[in-house]
Amino acid sequence: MSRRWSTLALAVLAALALPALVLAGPAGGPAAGPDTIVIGTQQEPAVIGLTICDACTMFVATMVSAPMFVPDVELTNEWKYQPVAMEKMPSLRDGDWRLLPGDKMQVTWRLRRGLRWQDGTPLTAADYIFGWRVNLNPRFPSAGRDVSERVENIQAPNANTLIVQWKRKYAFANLGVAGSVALPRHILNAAYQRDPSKLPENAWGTSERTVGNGPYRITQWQKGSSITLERWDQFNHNAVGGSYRTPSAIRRIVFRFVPDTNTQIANVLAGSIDAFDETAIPFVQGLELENRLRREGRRDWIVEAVPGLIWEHIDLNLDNFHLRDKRVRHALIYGMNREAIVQSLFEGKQPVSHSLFPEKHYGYHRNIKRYPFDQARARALLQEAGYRPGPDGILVKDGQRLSLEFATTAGNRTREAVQQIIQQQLRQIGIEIVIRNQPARVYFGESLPKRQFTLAMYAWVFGPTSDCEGLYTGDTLPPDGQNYPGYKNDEVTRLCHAIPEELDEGRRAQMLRRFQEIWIEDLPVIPLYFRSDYAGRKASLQNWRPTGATAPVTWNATQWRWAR
Amino acid sequence: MGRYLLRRTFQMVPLLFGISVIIFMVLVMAPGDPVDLLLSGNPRVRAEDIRLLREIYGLDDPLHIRYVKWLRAAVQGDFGYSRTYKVPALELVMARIGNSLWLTIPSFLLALAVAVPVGVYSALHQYSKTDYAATFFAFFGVSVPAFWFGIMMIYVFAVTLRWLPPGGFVTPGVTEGIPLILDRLRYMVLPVIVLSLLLMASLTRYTRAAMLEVIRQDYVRTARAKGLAERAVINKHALRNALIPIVTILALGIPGLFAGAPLTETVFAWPGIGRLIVESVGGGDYTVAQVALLFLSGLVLIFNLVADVAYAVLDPRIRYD
Repeated sequence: MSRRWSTLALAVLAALALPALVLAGPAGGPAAGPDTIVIGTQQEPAVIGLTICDACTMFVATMVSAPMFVPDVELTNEWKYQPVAMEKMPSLRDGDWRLLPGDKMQVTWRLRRGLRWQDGTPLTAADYIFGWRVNLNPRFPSAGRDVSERVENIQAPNANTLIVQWKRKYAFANLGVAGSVALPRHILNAAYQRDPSKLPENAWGTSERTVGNGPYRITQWQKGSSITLERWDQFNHNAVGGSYRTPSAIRRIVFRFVPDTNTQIANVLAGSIDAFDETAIPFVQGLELENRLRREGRRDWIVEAVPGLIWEHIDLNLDNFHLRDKRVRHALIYGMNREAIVQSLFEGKQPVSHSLFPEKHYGYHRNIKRYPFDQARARALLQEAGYRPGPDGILVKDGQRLSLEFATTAGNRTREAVQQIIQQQLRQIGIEIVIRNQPARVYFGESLPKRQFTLAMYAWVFGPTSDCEGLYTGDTLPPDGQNYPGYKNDEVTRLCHAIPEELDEGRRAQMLRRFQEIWIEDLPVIPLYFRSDYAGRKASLQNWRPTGATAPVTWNATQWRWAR
Repeated sequence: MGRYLLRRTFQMVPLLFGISVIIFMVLVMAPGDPVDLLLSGNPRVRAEDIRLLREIYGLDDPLHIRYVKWLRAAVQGDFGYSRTYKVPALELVMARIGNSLWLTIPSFLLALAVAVPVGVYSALHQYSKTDYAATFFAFFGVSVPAFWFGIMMIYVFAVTLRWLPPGGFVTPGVTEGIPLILDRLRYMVLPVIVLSLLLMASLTRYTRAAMLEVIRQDYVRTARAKGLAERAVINKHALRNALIPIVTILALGIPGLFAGAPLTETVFAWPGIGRLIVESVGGGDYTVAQVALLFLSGLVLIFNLVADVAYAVLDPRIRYD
């Protein structure tokens, strides 16, 4: 009996293991053939194309959408804007951006001729107007209406001209038609008329039935596994500008969703993906991977940190008894050796931030007040604020120990490491830090919006033109905005509302600098560092150019090539 | 038996209803607003947009109203849309169940094919080298975390030896026919081995224990005394009786495979139901989590019934009528 069972067991094992004899491809060459690029990414997009709906704001959705849809204007890896679907970027100098009485504006866009949806229907001005109307409709689940609502009206005197009337001045009116995207009116209008709230549930945007207007079309979407885009040979590269002008050399782009970062790294080492984007591997693991590849002398992969616009910081709840006193806030930042943190944890590849803007931002204040690591000064400030050492060494004022709860997302190894270092550093100046981390859903879904925190570490994702409106204006405290620290300063509120309406970049930068001066002195937030994200590619993949900004790495997918 | 089956089947309806209430309440009352969570880190979102989204998704209705709305739609076959994926929740769950079956069925068969003969052999040769090896294997299988074991398998077979893919579901460009099946098999090997390990280990231990108990019974001794061949004694008398407790482990092992799959599916980037449950609960996608968890609950109920029926088939003394 046992022999028969054993034979059966062996047969089953052999049947399972037999296909293993088919070996994987070489690590340095394309994973799935010379006409294909396989990109490993951590997340799966919810909806593509409808980039204005709620979850579609996710980065990965823009990454998949970029090769499928031509943007009005694209952001390059050098953070320069250039027109793609439009003939040019409107400017005050050329007169296609005009100021009107009552602080209103008019911007004229000319859509390039020869662009089509992938079902053959021409892309026209009507599709842009439709996209704008959809985004404005309160029954459409959009999380990005702030720009669209600044627009009063859009007119289309002909199929290729859009005249956008703005209710008031808006500094970035030349970076996109109206804070929305062109949508195929001929496909979506019926569903939209039935129920705008259900539009994102339409098969368009969530399946292979999504019709784009770019150089690649979707051919397969295996939920939870991968999305495959194939080159759309009817795309008219001569009709567009920017990177889209280059005819695509790669026939197929596959986005493979790998949620576990260890598996993602295994995919890199085994050569079964060709590249990974900035969201695929956390910084610390990316650093380990880079060092490992160097140690092993492997030249088949190029893995590097791309400086980005994701800003790690600690919000201070200004309603807290201790944190209400500016001297305590200053003592906190003087007591933290942020330079040592970035050196020890990130080998200095994630720079300390002294402002909410990185040096590459046009409004960055070069002479902003800096807070070096100075524990003597921190102690002096606390003493001046009336704190005296208690029996256990922790400072006390009015009977209250200087003990602060410090929260972040549980399970985020990097943040937890930063937290522990800060805890030790502040203990040296008599401040007790009690770490109370929470799962992301509780932290972002409950604690932050309800301001149930004392110190909260997390990140904001900024763009190259981001400013302070909504984050630090006195009228945007939750539930009316995301000013979680509860910061109120009249001059800052006035400045932050005025900045997006200042058209002159020089003056706008000056206003941003003034804001930073006040903000860094008031210190409602402790700036920590700017995240760099690791992106990687096989060495033989050419023209892979991550932007490090809000624009996805696929912005120039048509320029990718395999080296011969 | 027929009446028993009918009665048990009808009993499942109120049970499932009760389970659905509990699942719904637990999911909805869990801390963390799904809309805030969805939009976290996006400084462009305004409070007004958040309010509108909450209204569109009906998140401000009282709990009982939300449940009644859900139940009313569910009995008509409408289980709602995934808030994350914007596709019908039922469609999403069914597709993921299909993907999970690619792992669970071979894992079950593999566990069965290895564990029962090894357990039997181990019992018949107690304290032999093979028995010690089998016992060690069983303890290893029960103790080792699936997550760690999965990573190790990937490291050895995908990264070092490069025999198998480190994760995924199918090779890009392979879309149909025999090449697709062969390709899928390559991707299945490692997750199937990892997923089957726990069931295999516990089944080996139970089989060995059950056989050890049975072969010392009087009727086995009697069978041997009657001069029956050893093979007949083991097959007809010992194994058949030893299978009764094993059937419980087997029957409950199937929902256990589904429920235990999240880590394996995550490590191997396999788009199965286990991963979907973890993602939907974590992301506040209640409609999907509700359907997926109800499916698992239904599976447990069904396989409990299967186990009861199997007792009667294996042991003539058990009658349910």
